[in-house]
Amino acid sequence: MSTKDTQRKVLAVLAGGLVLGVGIGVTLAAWNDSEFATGTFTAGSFNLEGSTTSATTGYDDHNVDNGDTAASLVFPLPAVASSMSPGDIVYAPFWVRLDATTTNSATLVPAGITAGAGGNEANLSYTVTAIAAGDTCGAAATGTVVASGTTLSTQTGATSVPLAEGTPAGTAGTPVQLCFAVTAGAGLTQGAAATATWEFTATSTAD
Amino acid sequence: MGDTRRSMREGKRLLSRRIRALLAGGLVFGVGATMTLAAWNDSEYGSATFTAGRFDIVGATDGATFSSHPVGTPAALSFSAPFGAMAPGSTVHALFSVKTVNPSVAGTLQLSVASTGGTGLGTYLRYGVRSIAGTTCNGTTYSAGTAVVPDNSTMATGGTGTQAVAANGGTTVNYCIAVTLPAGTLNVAQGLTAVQTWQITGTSS
Repeated sequence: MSTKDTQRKVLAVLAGGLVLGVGIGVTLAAWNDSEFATGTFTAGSFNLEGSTTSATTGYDDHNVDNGDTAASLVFPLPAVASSMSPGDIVYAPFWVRLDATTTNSATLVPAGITAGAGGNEANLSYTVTAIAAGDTCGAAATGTVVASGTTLSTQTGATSVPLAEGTPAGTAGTPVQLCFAVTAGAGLTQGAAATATWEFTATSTAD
Repeated sequence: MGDTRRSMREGKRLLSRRIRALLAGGLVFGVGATMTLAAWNDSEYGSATFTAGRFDIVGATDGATFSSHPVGTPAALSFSAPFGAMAPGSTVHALFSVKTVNPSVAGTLQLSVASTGGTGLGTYLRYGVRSIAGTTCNGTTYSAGTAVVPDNSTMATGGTGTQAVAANGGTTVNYCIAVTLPAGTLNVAQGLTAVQTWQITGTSS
């Protein structure tokens, strides 16, 4: 008799379990509805270009890292630049700006100098000053000194300058003129040349 | 013989007694049944009409103009500038509000990612979603919100947990979505695009 009772209880519990299972199944079968939303994102573009001839024309890419050729600085007094004597100072301008496709402003930072193998690199010092785009790069030019070096293979005091993107969009940004002043030292070797490549890096800033 | 005759008589008597007993019982039953049937009757009837409820959710990108946005015509989120020209370090925000219509039963919402398209910017983008109190979605309100998708998640990451919406449009869930192009994103990401579609699945409760 007691065995039959136990069986009956087990069956009852099982039946209860089945009922519970059905109840849970019903809960899961709830109604559904969905909403969809889309966002479109586009990355901006960024390109720095430079000119050795003027603030408005002659711009090109000179990114050696991308296979371009470095811009050759044009010294307004080629006779002096090509036959310097101790104490001589020569000046050369280099304009840089963000090109028309650029979508962000930037900061421009001197990123070092690489001396050539002309022989006189150690006897020339330099100063790079950021001046207004329309100013003349010469002894009277004043602005922010962005870098200097006691030789053509050192760089100290690297200072960033801001570069603005063009307004309205699709136009080139306002140029910044970098004025290079190179001074011949007392130990200048007669007849020897010197070359150097300056690197400037523009880094985009988020809007 | 005498024995036999007596036993036969007694047998007949027993049979007739049984028949009478049965008949008497039947009569008693019959009387009982008749009495029951002769009671007064009255009935009350109750009726109820059952109608299935509805469950329908709608969304708005401005927090005010709600409508349905099925998969074919998703709502175009109004991301803040510069979503069209993102640079490393850029973060853009957009609001998407969801509630039930009237009439609709209550339910819960779950955010998931339906698709990530475009030309490859989605690989670089990171995002997070928080539910906020008002309908102003920006860096400040985002910071004060409750996390739905953790910050700096990849664009394939869906929401964790669900958000409750009351019946008949009683409450609104305001999702504040923040999409970032992380600082340090490579130059190769320039000019790429991403089209991200999110799905808010509502389930009646």
